[in-house]
Amino acid sequence: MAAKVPAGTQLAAKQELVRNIGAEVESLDISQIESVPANHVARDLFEGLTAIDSSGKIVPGVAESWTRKDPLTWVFKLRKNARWSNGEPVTANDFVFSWQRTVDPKTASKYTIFLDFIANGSAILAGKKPVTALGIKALDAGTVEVKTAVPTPFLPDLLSNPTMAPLNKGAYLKGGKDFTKPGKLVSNGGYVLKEWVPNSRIVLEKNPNYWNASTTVITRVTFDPTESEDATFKMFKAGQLDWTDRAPSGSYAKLSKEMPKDYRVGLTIALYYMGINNTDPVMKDIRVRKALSMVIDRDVLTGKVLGEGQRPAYGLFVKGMEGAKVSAYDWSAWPMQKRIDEAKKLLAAAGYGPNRPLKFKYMYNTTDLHKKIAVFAIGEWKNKLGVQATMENQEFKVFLKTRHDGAYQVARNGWNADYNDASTFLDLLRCNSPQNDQKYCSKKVDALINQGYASNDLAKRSAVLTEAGRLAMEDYPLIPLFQYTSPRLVKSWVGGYFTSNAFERFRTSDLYIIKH
Amino acid sequence: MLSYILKRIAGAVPTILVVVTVCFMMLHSVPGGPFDGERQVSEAVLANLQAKYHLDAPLYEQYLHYLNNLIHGDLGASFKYADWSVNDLVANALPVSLTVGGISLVAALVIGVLLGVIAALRQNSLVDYFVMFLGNFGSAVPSFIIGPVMILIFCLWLNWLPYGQFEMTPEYMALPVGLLTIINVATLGRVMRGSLIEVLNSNFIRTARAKGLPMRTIVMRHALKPALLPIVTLLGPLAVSSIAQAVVTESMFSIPGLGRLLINGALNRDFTLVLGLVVLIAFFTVLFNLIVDIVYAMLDPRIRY
Repeated sequence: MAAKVPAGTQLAAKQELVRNIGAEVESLDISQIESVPANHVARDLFEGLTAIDSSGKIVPGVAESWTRKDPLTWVFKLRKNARWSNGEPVTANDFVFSWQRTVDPKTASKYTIFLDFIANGSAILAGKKPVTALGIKALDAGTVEVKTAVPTPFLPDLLSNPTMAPLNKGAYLKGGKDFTKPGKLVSNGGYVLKEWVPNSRIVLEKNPNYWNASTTVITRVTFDPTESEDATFKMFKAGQLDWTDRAPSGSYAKLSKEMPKDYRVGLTIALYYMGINNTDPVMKDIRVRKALSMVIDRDVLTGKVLGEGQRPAYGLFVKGMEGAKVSAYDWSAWPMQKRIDEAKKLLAAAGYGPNRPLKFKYMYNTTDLHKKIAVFAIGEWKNKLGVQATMENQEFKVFLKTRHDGAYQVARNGWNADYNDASTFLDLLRCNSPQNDQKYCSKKVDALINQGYASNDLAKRSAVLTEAGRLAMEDYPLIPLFQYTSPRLVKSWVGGYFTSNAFERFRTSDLYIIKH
Repeated sequence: MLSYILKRIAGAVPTILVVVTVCFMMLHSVPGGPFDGERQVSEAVLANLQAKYHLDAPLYEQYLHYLNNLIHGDLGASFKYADWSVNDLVANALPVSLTVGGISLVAALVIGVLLGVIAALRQNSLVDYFVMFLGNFGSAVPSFIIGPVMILIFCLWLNWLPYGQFEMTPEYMALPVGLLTIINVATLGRVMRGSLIEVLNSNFIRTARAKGLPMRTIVMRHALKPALLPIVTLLGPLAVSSIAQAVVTESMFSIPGLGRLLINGALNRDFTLVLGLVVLIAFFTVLFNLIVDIVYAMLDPRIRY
């Protein structure tokens, strides 16, 4: 909680930080934010019942403690010294108001994934129940009771997200449509909004009323929305930024040698994969899907082509994820030649060979990273199996529609977990899930997922969900390639930064500037 | 003249209406919508979003709704930036674009006219070759080549100027203004040179010369005014492009102006934002062309409306 400055550390006199967040935020209204950049800013402005520290651990936020009364009921005790930036106390009703506003169909929130876990959340979003039916209740000013729709052992994780933070009703009503603007936004986190120039900067200053203000070291943080990795790299070198959202891709070897103290790379809970349209006439043959997956050398891809510490992936789940164990295909340990031989047999059995080569289209949206991976994969398929895959790139929004509509054969895809539980990855393969671009559906897998979700026994839940993931991947609905990393430049004098934070959720109040 | 101005303004309304209608239809026919993302929203959430932004209504109703708001000066809500109306976003970006574009245009006008005059008066001299080279260079080499070279030299090698962020201060504005000026100087200088040479070869100048008038008097009193007419013609489109279409320059220098908004709006399928900017650009085009016509009449007494 807050900055933990090691004994003997000399702090800089000026405690100001300039963080690049990679894009302009879409909103500072916690009911409207959905992007990573907006969450970075909102995390400094608002604090939920729980919070996440710099190392990635869930810690108490406005709630100083919580208990799980039964599988579906949680009770959170709020700290008495929690205050809004206008000095008012943060109460249980502020949470009730905030959540009910977000779930209200009239608010039209885009990012409602957390509220789907709260009792009646989905029904309210669909307009089938009133907002008062939401599973949150103020037992008294300092106690919040939350009822979940299904057993949700990772609820404290969900509640650390700014979307689930409280909202000051008085300030919201008084501010009207401008309630998120400087001078009007009342926040309960470590910082208050001082300045917001769209596409230019957002400036926050330390909130003296924050309950943990005494251990908050940094007094001013500026969020820069510059998008270009190249531009932010130059700005970092020129001393205009203390923190870049992403280091230029492909510069791992150079930067880790030239700027070892500044270049920080951590694994993230995110998977890069190729989605396969399981309903496509060519791709519905499991032998084809398996053969294509087997011959892509993930070690070469991550080590030589990408070279930013990415971890080869052979399953749905990634390292560091809770709720299920990481599994891998047996053949991942085979020598490549054996994999190629087996893949050739599979293709031959499916009716493809030198006389009738397999042909399909690989689609991706235009970025250097996706293009590089596409070229590599197509080369692997051609050289090892004689497959004739063609590449087609599309503008991002067009590509998304193509993929969601299933108008593709094989397409670039990826998943950044919203919360640390296997269920977020399983959503990629559940029948009728909006995230299932693969159009894959297995009743057996769905039954296992449902069984896991209903379980109150954590060990059993994990075992069942691991099996669900393994079983689904035996059908080869997608081709996992690698676990993402977050290569970023952070000045060596920024203390409190840990690469173990796999969700990259950093609160400025946990950081400090070392004398330099 | 007043009736002419009123007629032009009345004539501009259908022009803007056609622009808005075509743009509206085009935006709604492009694949990919404002709420499409890597993470698909559920059907219920999508329905809520569509209801909020009136996207659940038939297209003609959406169109009429937009027009009604437009008539009342309301450019609508941004689909992407929930906290800002399009009016807010434009109000934030317009002064930036106006300042950068305006300064560069004035600078280009002064330098371009001056160089053009010198080149015309010193035909086939070194100065003339230099202006011609500058003109060809500025026209042939695109801004996305000149810009990074300028950044490389002034920001990274010499370290004279900051890079990446933007403030309305001379050190941040120097490069973008400089880049836009170079591009416009090239065009204006070339046109001014050609126009002045043509005027200097005309009969009335020959008469003036025959009368023994000094060259300075001939140029200042008789040649410059008519030679400026093509420059004035150019100023309308140049003003619009300097202010609203400096898309590349604004992206390159992280300028929070209209050009950058337009790019982001198009990429995000932020229909109302794109439409708002299109209306604004159409308005400026009409306005600047009107100003050009008025200045034209002032410079050439033969032109009457």
